[in-house]
Amino acid sequence: MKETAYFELFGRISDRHVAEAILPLAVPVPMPKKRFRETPVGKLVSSPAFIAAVGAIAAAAIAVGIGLSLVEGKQRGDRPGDPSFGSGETETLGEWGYDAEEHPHVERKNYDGEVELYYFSEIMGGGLAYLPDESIYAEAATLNAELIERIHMTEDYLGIRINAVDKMAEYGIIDDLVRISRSGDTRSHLVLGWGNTIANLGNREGVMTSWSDVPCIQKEADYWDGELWETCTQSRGSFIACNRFIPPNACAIAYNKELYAKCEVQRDLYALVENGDWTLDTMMAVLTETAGKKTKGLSIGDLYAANSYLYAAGFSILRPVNTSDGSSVEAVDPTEDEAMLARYAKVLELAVHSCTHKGGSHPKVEDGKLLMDTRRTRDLAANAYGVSMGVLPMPKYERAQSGYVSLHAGAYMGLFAQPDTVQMCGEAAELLAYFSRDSHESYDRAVMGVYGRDDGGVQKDLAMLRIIHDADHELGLIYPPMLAEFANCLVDPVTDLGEEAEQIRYRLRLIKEEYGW
Amino acid sequence: VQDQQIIDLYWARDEQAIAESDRAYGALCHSVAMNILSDRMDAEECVNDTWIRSWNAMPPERPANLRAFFCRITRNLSIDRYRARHKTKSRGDGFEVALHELTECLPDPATVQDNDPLPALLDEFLDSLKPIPRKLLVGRYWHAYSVSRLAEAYGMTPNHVTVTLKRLREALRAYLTERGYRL
Repeated sequence: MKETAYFELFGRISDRHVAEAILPLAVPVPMPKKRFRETPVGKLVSSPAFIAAVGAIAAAAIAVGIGLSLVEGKQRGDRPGDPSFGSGETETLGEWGYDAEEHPHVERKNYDGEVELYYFSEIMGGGLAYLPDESIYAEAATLNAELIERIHMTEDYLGIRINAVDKMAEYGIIDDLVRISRSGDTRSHLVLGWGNTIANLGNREGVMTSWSDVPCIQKEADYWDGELWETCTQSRGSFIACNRFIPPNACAIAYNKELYAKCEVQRDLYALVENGDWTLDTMMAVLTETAGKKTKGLSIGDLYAANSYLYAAGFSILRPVNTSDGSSVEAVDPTEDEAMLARYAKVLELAVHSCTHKGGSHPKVEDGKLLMDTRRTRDLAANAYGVSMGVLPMPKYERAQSGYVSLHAGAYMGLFAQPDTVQMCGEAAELLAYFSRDSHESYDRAVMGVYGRDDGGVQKDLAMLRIIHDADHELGLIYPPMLAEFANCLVDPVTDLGEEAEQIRYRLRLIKEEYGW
Repeated sequence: VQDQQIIDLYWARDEQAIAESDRAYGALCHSVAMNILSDRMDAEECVNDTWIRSWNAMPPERPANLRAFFCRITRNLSIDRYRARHKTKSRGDGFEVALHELTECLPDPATVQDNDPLPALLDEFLDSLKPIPRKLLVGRYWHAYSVSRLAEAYGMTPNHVTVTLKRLREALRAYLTERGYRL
């Protein structure tokens, strides 16, 4: 057991580090206690007769005095996940200690129960809105603290505990939702998952609650995002709770600045964006010119990865619509609209060119093996990739398009509920959003800031991030496209390239022949 | 009883020192041993041995951090016991995984002399980390807490803890490599 010697070696760190990392022996999992005013003493001191007898000021003083003694001096930091957990701060608090202001549409309750927040580990990268997250973002500690505070405030407000339950895999969530729905399980469940999976479940399986049917949800309030909500409303209802944390998580096109400079293409990409000239055609032209330089022998297919996000450039193709007969239709069929079909063909063409990479591991922009790919803006803002990355919005279809549109692939920042427990879930979701209204500024600042860059291009990068952030946002991508066979060809174009590229070319040819292109 | 009073009891050769130590830190030391040994009886014996070892150490020692002092003794005793128990076959449990992970980011102990600056560099590296990553690293590789225990404590998912630890090991490896260690 030579490894034990390594353990002994690490054992030589100083006592201060050792002591700091000691965890409490038993992790307390406190159940919600009755609020002070619901205890016999609380009822007494808050009764009109009592107040009349001793006067409002005296009553308040007694209530505070007794209240403090009843709550056993609960310490901040006693709960796992609390940012000051284990710190031993001795601030005396009641319940979790948050005397949150009243929500105008949600009454205080004491459900004395639990809400399970289902998620699966893979979405942790999208944390900091509903799940604490050790993060690359400079303000992660602040965001985590704010997040935990609003969870505690919600717990206090409703007399619940919100338990995060890791289902480990997305299919775990799906299985559970179907099981819960069929079994009539009346416990409360919120679900944090990939938007496409959940939306499709809501649409096809009928296991989800439509937020439209939940009266306490204040869709028009500024802590929700009403416009986004509209874009992903399906004929069966609205299943995705669209909040203000979504925009900073938009997709963007990342490009390797160093590699682009080596290509010696005389086009200022940022200027193209600012002038409104960043279109599908322009993008194709840039890639063609770049490939023409034969930098390091790279072809155009080696320079751009059109992964599944790119066909999202067909956002309006995928926009969900309601049909007159009420049947479930998630997207417009582009073959019914020539303009859309033309756009779709362009996207396909771009994808075809991206499918020429042959074998080997997936090339990456950050490795200098790929010029462009799609990435989340928040990761670009945080410079998570260790190289100088340029940031571009998704290209317009045509120059005439009024503005850029930012796309989302997963929309994992949404919350979802299952039918039987809609009341409690609705209230918890509404309160979590309501208490987040003062956090959006710091959230945006954290994920939109550009850290650790020294290439002099920070301000320009920031300007691009701002364009993406402030653009219209589109969640339509989360729905299955009508032309799913095309999408499937694009999902993973760089793994089995020869065959898939041929498939795409074949389908593109069919479209062109059928519609005269 | 405050730490200082416990230390004074040891220095006064008062056997009450052991009772007070056990009362104040017995459970903590037991958890340290359990993290490594996963055996209640063995852990119990390590804790008892901890008081004996402390009795022999104080005086002359007067630890500045009694909690860490006891934990360190228990940890060393537990490693010895673990080593004795697992001479022949591997256990394949969480602790063994932690041991193996450590080999990725530390130099071969046989090459580290007593006067080697490595411990100071480890402290320096830990000081450079944010609090939670630092506690995760020390929690996992000093206290041998399981990944799930750390996840629960810090409100993270087990997967997230695992990924974070991996990054930290990589960072530590790079840190030591830059300073001339061969890993």
